[in-house]
Amino acid sequence: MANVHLNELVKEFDDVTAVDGISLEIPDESFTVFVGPSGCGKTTTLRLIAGLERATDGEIRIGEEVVNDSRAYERDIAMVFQNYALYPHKTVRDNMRFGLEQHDTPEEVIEERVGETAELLQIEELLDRRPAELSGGQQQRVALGRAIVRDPSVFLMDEPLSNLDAKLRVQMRAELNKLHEQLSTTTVYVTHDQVEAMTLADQIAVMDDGQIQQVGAPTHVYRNPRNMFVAGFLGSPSMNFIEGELEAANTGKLRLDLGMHAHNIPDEYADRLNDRLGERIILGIRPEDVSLSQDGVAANVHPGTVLVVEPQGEKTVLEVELETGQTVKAAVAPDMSVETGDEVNLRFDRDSLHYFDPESGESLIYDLKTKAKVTS
Amino acid sequence: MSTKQSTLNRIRQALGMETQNEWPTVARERLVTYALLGIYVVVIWFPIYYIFITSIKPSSEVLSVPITFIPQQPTVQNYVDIFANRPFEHYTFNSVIVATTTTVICVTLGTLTGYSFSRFDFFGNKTLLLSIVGARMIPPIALIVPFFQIMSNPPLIGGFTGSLYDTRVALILTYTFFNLPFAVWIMKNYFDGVPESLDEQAKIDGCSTWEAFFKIILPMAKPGIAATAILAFIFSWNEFVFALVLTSSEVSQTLPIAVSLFVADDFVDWAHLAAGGIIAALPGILFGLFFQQYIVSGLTQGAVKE
Repeated sequence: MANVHLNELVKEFDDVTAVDGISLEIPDESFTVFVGPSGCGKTTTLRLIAGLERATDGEIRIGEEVVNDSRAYERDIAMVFQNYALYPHKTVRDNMRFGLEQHDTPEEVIEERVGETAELLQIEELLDRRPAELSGGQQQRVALGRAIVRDPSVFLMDEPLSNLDAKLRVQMRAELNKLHEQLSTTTVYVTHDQVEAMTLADQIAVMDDGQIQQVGAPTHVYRNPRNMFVAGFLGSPSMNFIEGELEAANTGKLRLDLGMHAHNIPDEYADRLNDRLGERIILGIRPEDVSLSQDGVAANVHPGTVLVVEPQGEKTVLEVELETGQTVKAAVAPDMSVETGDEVNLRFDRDSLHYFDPESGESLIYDLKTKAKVTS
Repeated sequence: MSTKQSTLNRIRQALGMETQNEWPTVARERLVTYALLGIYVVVIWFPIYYIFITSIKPSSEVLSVPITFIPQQPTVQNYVDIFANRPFEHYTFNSVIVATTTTVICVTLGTLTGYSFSRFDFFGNKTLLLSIVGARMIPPIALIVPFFQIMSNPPLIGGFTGSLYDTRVALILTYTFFNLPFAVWIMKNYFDGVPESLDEQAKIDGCSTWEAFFKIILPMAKPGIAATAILAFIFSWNEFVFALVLTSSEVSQTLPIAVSLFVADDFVDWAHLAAGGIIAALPGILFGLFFQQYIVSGLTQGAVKE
């Protein structure tokens, strides 16, 4: 077991900067997930930790040891690759034994560990088969087994579930969770799938453009995104962004001009946004925080026309066009009878509002929201 | 049922189809396919069959008219003769040594070079690969004079002053020159088809680059190696023109040359030539039949992404 510490880590390939100065503390026994779109540098970061790439600059520590110059096998890590990378000419047993043999582990220890791991993953009956004779799910288990049998300080996993079909992926996700509970080995996991990231992680690191955009507990990051990238990346369907001009109402209160129906800015954010009076800002609200209001026209209720109705089983997603022409997605209960063309009134949950700077994309109220959470 | 129809039904039965009165398109297509393939098989095997029967005919029967397609007095005398009267064991030995050594060199260097080109990103690797494979594009015949001169007066290396003319070394060097680019190319393509994550997994498991290559990647490359080996072996075994120019005696002459020696200015010794031809062709045919599955999988590896 060990923690992993990344300090100002940089990786350049020719003229491309894949990893651009990231710093992160991965606590011992944690399950940390790097999530981001493809090309964001998450896999490169993992490969830097694994020792498969050399860092251009910065420091990587595993436990107390700086490992920048150590070879992959000296780092006491095990990796699960996206394509599993099982040795096709070796049986499952030999695949699992290989790493231990390379480290001169005594034969009886090898036997014992392979046996235990196979039992843990329920792959005992597969031990004498070759990878080609296994299904995708079984190959996945063997790849996990090969990592577990080594009993490393850190597990590194590079999109290990992405080659599985949807049902198996959900099942393996649950098993990975259970395995981590049992083994408590520090795990660094890379995925582009935000659902996987949310369900597996103790700590989630959202990456874009070679940089970590935000780190934190999954729910915290989901509820309090630091910028529009994080807000938009996490969540499906993704957060609604509505641009409008900040203006002062007759009452002296601050509101966002959304055409016919202004959106009142809650008092707790008014001080912060006051000096942006007359400027355009972006209102962010997640579809599940948008509800249909029966109140008719009232404060903070926005009328619109339903353009698309998408029943998704556990919820129905509506795409609604506001009077300003902007569209907003709303996730409503599946039993709600709404049809295309219906006139509806949308209400935005006042605790779930976000405001962003349209230039930088940064949240204007991130610190207020997180502070509010701490004090409440 | 008329005679014609019953014949058709017999054919249908033979083709594994239900007998019926109509002549379905599928059966017709199948019949055409088999007929064409049958003709093709006859065309390619007939010369081999003819050489074989000639080799077991006594000389008197070889040129007799009408031609006999089944030998009337089969004999192995021709085979006995070529080993008794001519140094055929030398020629065979030369062929084996030249072809085997060339194959070993090509496979060893081709595998290592192919792996380097596939895995390591070094300066100028694309240009180098192109120039290596490009060398193979030159028609061999265009190089025959330079090769003759180089082998007759080799550059002074390590104080060596002799000539390589009429040595097996000359043939081995020449055949390696022609086969190595092909070996590099096949092996590079083969290794390209082996996911790099396997090398990386091996390194994480505790291997050095060499260990990862020898313990993990090489055992997986057997089909590629087999394909390379067979192509190099068959080329070296069959090669005629360079062997004719670079050798002059039984010290280094190979089987194709030996066979050609049965052709004299005014007389062709068909029976013995046929026996020599069979001896010369046998290893190639056996190799080909045995390893053809590897040739195909080795050559097509990396063609599609799995």
